[in-house]
Order: sequence, then C-alpha cells, then structure tokens
Amino acid sequence: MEKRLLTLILRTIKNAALLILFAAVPATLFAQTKTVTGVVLDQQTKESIPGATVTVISTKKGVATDVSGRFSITVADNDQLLISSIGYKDQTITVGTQTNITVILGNTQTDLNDVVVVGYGTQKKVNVTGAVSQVAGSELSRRPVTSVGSALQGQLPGVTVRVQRGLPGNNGGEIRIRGIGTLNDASPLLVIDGVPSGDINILNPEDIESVSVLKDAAASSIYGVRGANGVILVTTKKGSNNPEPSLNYNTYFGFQKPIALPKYLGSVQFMELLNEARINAGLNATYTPAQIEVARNGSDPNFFANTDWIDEIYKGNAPQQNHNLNLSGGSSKVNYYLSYGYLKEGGFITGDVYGAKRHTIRARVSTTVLDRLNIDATVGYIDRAYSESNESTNSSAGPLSVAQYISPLVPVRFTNGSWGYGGGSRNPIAVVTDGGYNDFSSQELTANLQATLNITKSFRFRGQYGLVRSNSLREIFSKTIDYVSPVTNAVIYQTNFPNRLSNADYTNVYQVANALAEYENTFAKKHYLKAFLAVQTEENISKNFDAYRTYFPTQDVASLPLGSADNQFNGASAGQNALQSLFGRVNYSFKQRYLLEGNFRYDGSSRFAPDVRWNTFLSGSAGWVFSEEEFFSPLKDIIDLGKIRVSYGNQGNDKVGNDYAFLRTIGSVGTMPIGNTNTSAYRESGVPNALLTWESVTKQNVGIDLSMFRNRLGITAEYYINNTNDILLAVPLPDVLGTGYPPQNAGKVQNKGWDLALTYRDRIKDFTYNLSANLSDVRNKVVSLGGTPPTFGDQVRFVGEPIDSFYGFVAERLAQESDFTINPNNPVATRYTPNFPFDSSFPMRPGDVIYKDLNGDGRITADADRQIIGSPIPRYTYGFTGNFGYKGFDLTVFLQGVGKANGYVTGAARYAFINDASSPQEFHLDRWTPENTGASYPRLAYGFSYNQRLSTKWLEDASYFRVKNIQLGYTLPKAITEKWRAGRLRVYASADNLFTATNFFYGYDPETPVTAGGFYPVPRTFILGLNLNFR
Amino acid sequence: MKKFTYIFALVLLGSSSCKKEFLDRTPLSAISDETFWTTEEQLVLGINGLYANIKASNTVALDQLGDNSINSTTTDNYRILSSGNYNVELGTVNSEWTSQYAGIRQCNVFLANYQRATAVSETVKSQMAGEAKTIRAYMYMNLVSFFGDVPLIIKPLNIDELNGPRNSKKEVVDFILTELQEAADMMQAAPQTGTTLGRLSKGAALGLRARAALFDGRWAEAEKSAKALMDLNVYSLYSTGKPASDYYDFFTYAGKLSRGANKETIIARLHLLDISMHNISRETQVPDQSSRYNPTKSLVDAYLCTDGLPIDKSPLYSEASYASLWQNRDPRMRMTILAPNSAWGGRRDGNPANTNPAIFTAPKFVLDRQGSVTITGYYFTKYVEIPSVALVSRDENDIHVLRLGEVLLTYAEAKLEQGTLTQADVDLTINKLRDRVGMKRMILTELAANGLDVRTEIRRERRVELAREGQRWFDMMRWKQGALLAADVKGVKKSLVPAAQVTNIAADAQGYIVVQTGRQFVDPKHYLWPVPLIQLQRNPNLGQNPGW
Repeated sequence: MEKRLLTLILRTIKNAALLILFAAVPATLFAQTKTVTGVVLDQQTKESIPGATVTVISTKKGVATDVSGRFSITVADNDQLLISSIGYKDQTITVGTQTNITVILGNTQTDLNDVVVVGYGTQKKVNVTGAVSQVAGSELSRRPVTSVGSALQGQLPGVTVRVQRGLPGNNGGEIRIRGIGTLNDASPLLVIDGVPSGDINILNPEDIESVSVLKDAAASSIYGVRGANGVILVTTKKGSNNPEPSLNYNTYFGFQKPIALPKYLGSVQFMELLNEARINAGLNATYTPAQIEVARNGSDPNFFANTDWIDEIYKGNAPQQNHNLNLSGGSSKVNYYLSYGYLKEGGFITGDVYGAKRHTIRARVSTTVLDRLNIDATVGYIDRAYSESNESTNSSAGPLSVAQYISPLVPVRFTNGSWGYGGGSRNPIAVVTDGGYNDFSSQELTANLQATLNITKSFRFRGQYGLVRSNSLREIFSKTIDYVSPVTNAVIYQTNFPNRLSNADYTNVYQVANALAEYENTFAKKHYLKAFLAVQTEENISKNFDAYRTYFPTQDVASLPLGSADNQFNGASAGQNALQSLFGRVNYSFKQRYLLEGNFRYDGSSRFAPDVRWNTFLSGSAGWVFSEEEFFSPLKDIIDLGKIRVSYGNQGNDKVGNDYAFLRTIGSVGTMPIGNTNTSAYRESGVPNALLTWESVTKQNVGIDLSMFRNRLGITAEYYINNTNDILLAVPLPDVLGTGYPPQNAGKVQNKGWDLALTYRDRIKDFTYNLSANLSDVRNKVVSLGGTPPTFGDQVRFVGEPIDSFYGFVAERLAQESDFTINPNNPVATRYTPNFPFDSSFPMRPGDVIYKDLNGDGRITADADRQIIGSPIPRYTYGFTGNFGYKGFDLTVFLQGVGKANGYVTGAARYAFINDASSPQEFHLDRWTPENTGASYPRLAYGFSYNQRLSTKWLEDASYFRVKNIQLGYTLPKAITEKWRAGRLRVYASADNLFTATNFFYGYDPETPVTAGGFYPVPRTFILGLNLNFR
Repeated sequence: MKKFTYIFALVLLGSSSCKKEFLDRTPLSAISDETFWTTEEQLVLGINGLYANIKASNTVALDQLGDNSINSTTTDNYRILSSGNYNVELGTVNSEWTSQYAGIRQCNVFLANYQRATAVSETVKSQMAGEAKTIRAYMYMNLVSFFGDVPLIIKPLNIDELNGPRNSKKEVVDFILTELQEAADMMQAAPQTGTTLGRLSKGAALGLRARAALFDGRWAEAEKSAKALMDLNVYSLYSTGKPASDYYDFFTYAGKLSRGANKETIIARLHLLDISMHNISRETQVPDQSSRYNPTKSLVDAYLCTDGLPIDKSPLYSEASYASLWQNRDPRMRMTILAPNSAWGGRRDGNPANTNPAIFTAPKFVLDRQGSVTITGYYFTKYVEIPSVALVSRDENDIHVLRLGEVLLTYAEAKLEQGTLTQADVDLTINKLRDRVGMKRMILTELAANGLDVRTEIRRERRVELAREGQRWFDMMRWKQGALLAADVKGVKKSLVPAAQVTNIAADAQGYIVVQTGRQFVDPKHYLWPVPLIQLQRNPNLGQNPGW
C-alpha cells in the first residue's frame, strides 16, 4: 500500500510538473480532436500504474494516470502518445481509431529502480540515501526453512544470522545487523507492515512480499529509541488489481536429519579409560578386570550393557510437510490477498513428544473510496503449537545432554522390560518416551488498519492502528517413571515423584496508533520536496498466570483438577511499557541528481524515570547521482547509473531488560517453611537506577551504488562506523552489593565494517542466469567500559578488544617425562617435579598441558597468564545465490559461510572424565600415555581440571563454508498444464544444509560456536515440492 | 496546505501534553518500596525472607571441609578445598562470598526500613530487628571464618559505594559480638512456636555469640554467652529415655521442631514435605552410586571406647573384624557411623551372601549400580531417614544449625581455656551429653590418671558429638590443626572387608585403604580461603590473603 502510494506521489509530481509546463500552450492550436481513455498496467504484475505520464507527442500536452492507473486525454486521430513512468521503459502508441487503450509498460530491469520499503514509507532505490538492503519474499520461502529469521541467513550484506537450535517450532535464528552494537540485547527492531511488534519467526514465509533491513542512521533513526540495533521491515503480500483471480497451491514434503553428532565409546573402552583416568588422578580404579570381562562378553545385559546412547536418542529422521494456499486478485478499486498455510514438523528425537504445527491465516484488503481515501486492512492469525520433553531439551540437564554422558553400561531397558537405570543420571530414552511433555501452544492475532486521505495532490493524511494480541499456554506434565530392578523386581528409582502438571498462561497485548501528515511537491520542475510529521503512541501489556498440582492418580489424563487438592500452587506476573513519539522526515532533491534527507524523532519511554525519559534522535544524509551529470556521459555506456551517498545520525536502545529498572520495588520470594507451613516472603527486587537512560548509537555510513553493462551488473558497497555510547549494561560489580547488578549506562562499543553486494543477470538464448553475492565484515571493539572494571572469565570485556573475546592461556604442548625431575623413590604424589612453569594448586604429571608463562614469573596464574586468544564474533560473512534457468528447468544454488570466527566446545562435549558426567569419545583414545607421547589429547586424569582450562589448545576455528541449499525444479510445459486448466505447474527437489566444509569440532555445528553440547541440532533437510497456479 | 501542517503540528503538541500520564507505567506485579514497610504484616513478610539465608543441607556438607568425611565426587568443591589443591578461581569460594553478602544486604534492607512502620508496636519491631541482626551476624561469622578480613557492610549500599577495602577480622568480630548482644536483648526468651515456629529468639543470639567468641578465642565472652543461654532454662537436651537411639532420632524426622519433642535445637533450617526438602539421606546411602559422604578412618578412630579411653589405650579396642570396630565404643559411634547388622537404605552391600537389602553387613567398594558404594569402607547413619534413601530429594528432616549440645561444649571449652574448668562444669556439660547416650562420664581425675590431655579430650568430645554438623573444619582452623588436612585420607583396613570388593583398592603399609593422596596444607596460606579472584578483579582494594 505504501509502495503504491509513493509511486503515485512521485508520478503525480512529475505529472504536475508537466502540466504546469504545458498549461501555457494554447489549446486552440488543435483541431479534429477526440477523447481517449485508457489504463496503464505493469507488465509483470498486471497492476495498474498510477502517476504515469501520458503525453501527446505533437503538442507536448500531458496528463497523469489516477490512483487506479486510468487516464483520459484529448487527442487528434493521427497523434502519438508517449507513456512514461519512472522505472519503466517508455512506450509510444499511435492512437488511430482507438478510444480505449490499455498500455502495458515493461520494467527497465534496473535494481536501482526497485522500490524499497523504508521507515514509514517507500522509496525508489535510486533516491535512497541511507543503507537499506531488501530481499524479496520469494527468496525466503524457497528454502524449506520454517522461520523467516533463519531464512534471512546469507541473504543480505551486513545481516548475520546464526541458527543455533533446531527444535521443531522453535528454531529461529539470532539476527544481528552490522555486528554487535551493544553489550546488552543486540537484536534489531522488527516492524511488520508498519507495526513495530511481533515475532518474525512465526510468520509464514509464503506471506511475505519483502524484507527490508535498515542499517544506518539515515534509514533507521526514524525509529528513534529502538533503532540502534538496526530495523527489519517485513512487508506482507497484498492483492493485485488484476481482475483475474490467481490461486496458488504450494506444498512440500520432506525429512530432516541432524548435521553432526558426537561419537562415544562402548562399554569396554569406557571402563578401561575410566580406570586409567582414576589411577592417573591418584584414585582407586572403579572397575575390576572381572567386570570389564563381563562387559566384553555381554553376560550381564542389565548392569554391564553396551549402549550407544546417541544412536538411541536420535531416530532416523523427522518428517516435515508444508501446505500453502493463497488467492489474490482485485479490480481497479479493490484488491485482496487471502492465504492459508499449514506446517507440520516432526522431531528426530526418539519417542513422539517432539513436533510442531502451525496454521497461518492472512487476509489483506485494500480499497479506494471516493478517489481520495485509500484503506488497507490486514488480519493475520497464527495458531501454532510445539512440544518437547518435559525435561527442557536444550538445558544442561536435558535428555540430549544426558545422552552425551550417561554410562554405556546402562541398558535402555532391563531384561524385565523396565527402563534401564544405572545411578547418577536418568535414562534419557525413558525421559523422552515416558517422562511427559512440555506442550506450548499460542494464538497470535494481528490486526492492522491503515487509511490514507489525499486532501490534495500534494497533501495527505495517513493513520494507522495496529494490534498484536497473543495468548499462549504452556502445559508441562512431568510423569513419574518407575525403574524396576531386574533382580528384585522392586522399584529402585523414581523420577519426577510426585508427578506434576503445570499450566502457564501468557497473554500479551500490544497496540500502536499513529497519525501522519505528509506534503509532497515539485517546484520549478527540479526542486522536489517531501516532508512528513507524525505522532505515535504504543503500549505493551503482558500478564501471565501459572498453576500446578501434584500427585495425579493417572498419568494418562492431564487436567489440573485431577491432581491432589493438597498443595495447589499458583503464581502470576505482569508487566507493561509504553512509548510516545513525535517524528518526521524531509526529503529534498534537485533534478533527481542531488538528494538530501533529514529525520528526527522525539521519543519518550516509560522504561526510564520521568526526568530522563525523553530524547531526540536525528539523522541527515545526502546522495549524488553522478551518472546523471553531463561530464559522465562518455561512461554512460558502461555505467548506467551511479550514486554516492553519505549519512550520519544517532539512534537509541531502550531494552533495559526490565521495565522498571529505575524504580525500587518489592517482590515475592521463597523462604523456609516458618510455622511448619509454606511461607510467603517479600524482598527488595534489586537496586534501582533512577539515572538510567537509553543507550545511544552514532552511525556513519558511506556507500556507492552502481548499475553497469546495461543493468546486468549491480554493485552496492558501503563502509560504516557505528559508535555505541552509554551502553545499557548490568555491569558486574563487587558482590558486597548483595543483589543483582542494576543496568547502568556504561561504556562504549565501536563497530567498523563494510558490506558489499553484487548482482549479475543475463540470458544466453534459452539459458537465463542470475547471480547475487554478498560479503560483509565487521570489526568490533569495546572502546570504554565507563569506568567500571572489565568482566573476566572465559569470555571477557576488555577495552580495545571485541565484546566477549575468548580469554585464555597459551598452550605450548603436552609435557613429556623429560620435562620433569623424577624421583622414582618418592610416592606418586611427590614423584614428579615440573621443570616448566605451572600452577602449584595442581599436581602435574607427564601428559599435562604446558602453558606459556606470559608474565615470566615462573608460575602459571589465572590473573597474569591469560590473554585474548580469539573472538566469537563472525567476520567475513558471505552468501551467494545462483539462479539458473533453461527452458522448463530451474536450478538454485545457495552458498553461505563465515570467513573467520572462533568457538569453544566445553564441558562434557569436549572432555572426558572431568566429572561424573563426561564420557570418552572416539578421539579421546589418542590421549597421552607413556606409550603415546605424540598424543593430541592430554593424559586422562579424573576430575583434574588443569588441562581443560580455556587455552589456545581448545579454541576452535568456527569458520565454515556451507552449501546451504540446492534446489532443482521443472516447470511443465504450458501445453500440458493448460489441459488441466492450471496456469503453472512446477515440481522441485531441494536439500538444505547439504554440505559443510569446516575445521570445527566434529560433533557439533560451527553455527553454535560456543557450546557444551546437549541441544537439538540444526537439521539437514531434504524435500520434494510442488507449485501449482490457477488463474 | 502548509496551514494543515501547522494545525497538525499543533494538534500533536497538544496531544503530547497528556504524555506524562501515558508514560507513567507502574509495575503490575511488584509493590513499590514507597508503600511497603507500613504494616506489621508487611514487616513479617520482610523478616520471613531473611530465613532463606540460613544454611540448609549445606551445613552438613560443610563438614567435608574437615577430616571427618570425604565426598566420592572428585569435583566436589568441599573435597577440593579440603585437599588444598585449589586456586583463587574455585567456584565455592566465590559463591560463599556472594551468598553471604546477599543475605547481609537483605538484613541491611530490613534494618534500614522497619522503623518506617510507625504504627507497629516497638516490642514487635524490636523482636524482628533482633532476628535480622542475628541472621546478619551469622552471615558475618561465616565470612570471617572463610576469609578473615572482610568488608563490614551494615547498610544497603548504592552502586558507587562498593569499592571499599576489607575491615580487619577483629573489627568484624567486635561488630558480631556487639550486635548479637544487642539482638539478644531485643528478643523474647521463649523459643517461638505455632505460626512463628522456626523464627529466632534470644537463645539464637546468645548461642551464636558464644560460638563467635569461642571461634575468636575470646573465652570469657564465650563462657558468658553460653552461660546466659543455659540460664534461660528454655532449652534441654533431646532425650526420651532411650539412650540407644535418642541421639540418632534427634537428626531424623522425630527431631523435627514441628513434632514438639525437640527442645534442644536453637536454630534450625526447617523442612516440610512437598514444600522444602533436601537430599541428605539419599546422598549418604545412595543405592546405585558412590556415597557422597564417606566417614574417614580419622573420624572412626576418634570415638572412645566404653571405658573412656581412646582406641590406642583401651584394652577393649579390637580390630579383629569389621563388626568389632563398633564393639565397646562410645554409643554415638553406631548412631553416627553405620554399624554392621543395622538397617540401611543402600540395598545390596559388599557381602554376596547377604540377601536382605534392608540390612547392612559389609561395605561395598565395587560399583555395580546395585548397592551403595563407599570409598572409605564406612557409611554414615546420622542424619539418614532410611525410608527416604530410596527417594530423590524427599527428605524433610530439619537441619540443626545451633543446638544446646554445642553450647554446652562451648562452655566447657571456654572454661578450660581460661583454666577454670571444674568437674562440676564437666558434669553440667559434657556428662549431660554422655548421659544421654549412656556413655561413661568424663572424670577429670581419671583423665589425669590415664595420661590423657584434658584439652585433647574436650576437643574430641566436640568432634564426636558434632560430627556431620558442619563444625569440624572451623574447629580445626581455630585449633591450628591444618596439618591434619595434608595427610592422606584413609579408610578401613583392607583385610576387614570382603577381598573381592577391594582388589582394585590401594592401601598403605599398615593395610589401611588410601582414599586420597597428594593433599597439601600450607601454613598460613590454607588457614583462610583466598579472596575470590573475581571479587579482587572487580575491587582491587580488597587485597589478598597471605600466601594466595
């Protein structure tokens, strides 16, 4: 709607200019005249083109088409009409005897002529002076990816998406625009059809027309206090003005498998290595040779089994299916888009609790009333559900973590049929099969009503009301599992006793209303001016309620009233916040060659104390379309269009993490049961910070856009510097404070980087191809910590270094016997004296890691011998898409990767026998022993943590190159499909995450660079699909 | 047209005049501090929250810092602390620092605000303030024991007040003693009952004061407060006339304050089924893994024989069999350390011939997931409620943080150290504890006649009576017995247990199982924990303890 509106405005202006010009020509010069009416349509979309100029060539007299693309003009029979519109090829028509003409204009095929969605409007790309990247919805729905966030990966320069968890129904990626600009929540603002709320990952990708990402201040400062981390604008599909309705049915079926899984050792090697590790640590061996023999010969399947838990917990594959049906059409005054989508995902975890379903319904209607009032209404409804094990899947105690470390000696089931149990950890297969579930279901309703009233050609009012209401229920049933001894047939262990059902209900209501007045005109043919001023108010209120009962007599029916009436528990919480804003924008261009834009926003946020609640955000930008200059004409054959642009401005971030961080509040807490009953208690909820205010980001951007070789090659390159000040951060403080760290405005972070996007398209006879590539880099640096101390740990925040850099020892090599002075007569505890620097808290032996003594004091200490050894922030992120077509065949190849990043695989995912919950993997066999001195892994020593401290030895290279998707399709010839009255029938096969080249740790995916394992892996997906169109 | 813009702008500005109300969003599920602290009910809600800071089963776990018992889990932080093989980064060192200061802040907030309830009677407010001061002092007692000098924070701090240096241990102990005296004067003498059962009264302040003074070697103060508590005459030893089981029962559900029979406990961390439970019973005799609590040879050897003589002097002592170790010993031994032929929850034991999983006959070392494994050859029975061994985290015994028994021992030790201990004092204290269990009385003249050192015997009495109650390490530190921690941890004599159980197990020259070797204790370094590295990095003004 906004897109059309802007096109209309631009054309009206151009037309108005022509009118003014030709008004002086006396009409009396013409004779033999008649009135011709007509409509101008877009060749591809068949939509009407409002604001197109229709000029009588002989007289230079002209008119513009109205909002529905219609025109009426007086001509002579022999006249020719020139029809033109920005972004389309000019067309000349001889009137002849026609009185009603339909003109179809072809697109000029220049990227720069595309219309891009910007904040509170649309702009032609050629006029944009900020850093905006846009991707069409068709690029996102092509892959079998169920969340739009994940689908954005690799599509846009400067937009980094990491898909870290693959849980069905809950697998959105983490989106970062131009690096991490804050130490706080760095996720961008999401705006769907002008409404700054909602969840990008639950939208149906098929309903999306385009996604536009605003990266610099010029583009995003119109979003004021929320624009600092960039803005993602999602525009949903709408109908066309084509009176012939179009019905589409798209579907696919497929299955998923995990990309990478760890390999653990079997029972005999487990027992042998455990004994070795214990003896090496000065402990007694756990298993006797007789027991190892029992495991070897398999004579005791109850207590000396040999289970491959990873193999048991992941079943072959997870089915997935997706169906989408949409209908669109309209007339010159009304258009509509109706869609229904259904998605069903299975899980590849054993048992049948894992899965997700999503129904999406969307209806969008636009209409024009009295030629002046345009109304656009959208109603979207999403009903979704996903379920997983009651033991949170991705948690460190979840079944996937347990499967990583549970002893292989434990059987899945005892010989008596009961679930196997071996002490220490629950049986993860029992948990995912009989342990219960965690079902989440949610309904989200979006209502969005926009109205534009054109008072005059140049002046209009716009108003919008948006509502996003969600209602969710989380139902967790933790069932008691009895483990029955195969020896005594008595219950020897129970989990989740008493059983428990909890219901938690969450509601959220978000409302926004805005009003906007816009003026647009062109003066003296070359001065174009557009300005708007707007107000907006928003509020968000969330409430939730939860209750649980225990002691359910049956585990087959889950309903609260069936639980014991004793000990009924309930709880609730609620929160609210509001934002009020005044904002506006001015665009000025001279001859469409020199472009200027200014934005301001005055925001007040309820998240801050009244005195510091309001602030102004400003930005300015300028562009120069140098290819339009006279001096450039010799190069015009090569460079069709060239533009340089610069921008500067500031934005804010109000995501404090707590809506009342400035208020001193008292909240409910648990305590000891005083008086032999459950006892209520209240306590201060942390320290308020009344001075707390938004963080502010200053962004500078310079960019160049080129369109070359008759628009075959498009290049966009940008360089930027973003400085974040007053970062909102819960700075870790000395803990004598005695409570949680309040958010403070502390510190500065800088992101410097560049984005490059290239597109190339051409056709060689029947072979068409279309290539696009993007590459970006960002260098992140903490500039200041605002006087607060640095944060220490494995990941640190130091001035001058990237946020959360890895901080560790420099590992030199494994110590050999020759590195020690050995006193063979001493007891083992004092036999080895290291001849290298070490930490005296840890008794050292050959096979331990030698760390570099960085400060040269002869010993290894945590405070003086660690340094920055890497950064998890991805650099050189890239994506490449190639679309190839030959006759009915089409092939798409999508490649994606990260050129440089570090990772750290930790805990039981990486090390063996660091504690009771870490089992050996195949690579641990190459551990140091006196016989294997060239080992890759240190000696096994039970519970000895010295070797596992973060050092260069364990730092992973998390760079990767991935064939993200390959898709091959075939469109049946029209001759065949028309027999079935189908407009188009295409079948295709697609594979997602097909191949990855990486040096990362073998058992996990480099997109999860810092992990202790135990999470639902990112899947590899294979599908077969069908696109069917009737019109 | 521009006119429209102007009008529009005016409308906008006009509408923004109501912006204040629109943006004033109050919390929807929290109470503003401004309106709290008014009614008695609110003060009660405030004071209730402070009780979450009294250590629960952690009190029992703390005993493993000393030489009474050892955790089978090598990564257990208490085990690591006890071994001396740790550095400034150890998790528990920081978490103790952090959790104590969290509790201190909560007390400070209460004490800074309770007077705002002007309509509430002074008596009620004074009682509550006494409770808050006592809990705060308890947390400072933990801090000075672990860290020595610590920042003394007595009001809720703002974030710009956190970088001060440490106060000297003396200054903090002075504060503790002053505060506890003040708190004692503010609180009621009678232990709280009914709906306030478990909240503190005068005895709690006096008892902690006696402990704090004793820990700091201020003998006269320790004696004074212990005596004041004893003279309240509101506490008495738990005794139902069953010397063979009273001491054991006290630590099971029978001794819960809510059951009414226990008049001995002064401070307890209460537990309640389905509401607040712990896992001590299971952790102690876990039937399919290694016990988390393994009594050491050192503790087993500490029990006197029934003739009042230590094992190296008594003719009654016999190491002929596993069972003989319990014969002729202080009755508290079999009520603390599981004796053969006792009921247990550990199921299959080390004796293949034993078909009764409810009765323990021999220790089990071989991990086969079918019975409880010990790494020392011993198991605890004190604090074990046998039926709840089979269940995970379903214990509801109270954890006894301070009881009359300890105060009596404190009194005796304080008298001894001042050189004023008389037989009458011993009868008033130690012999009451011995009478409860039917142990031979301590007679000072007999000690002398047998060449026994009174101090050693008083200390032994404290160790034995309070085994598993979290006191051992604190006592060892103040008695400067750190060197004992450097010794290898030993277990039972290998020859006393079924041979098949110990084929893998190392033993020393005398045949005692070596459970852990390579320990260290550097004097003075290990007498205090280090200031946690992370705290030092955030506030270098704290400085570090000697040797770290």
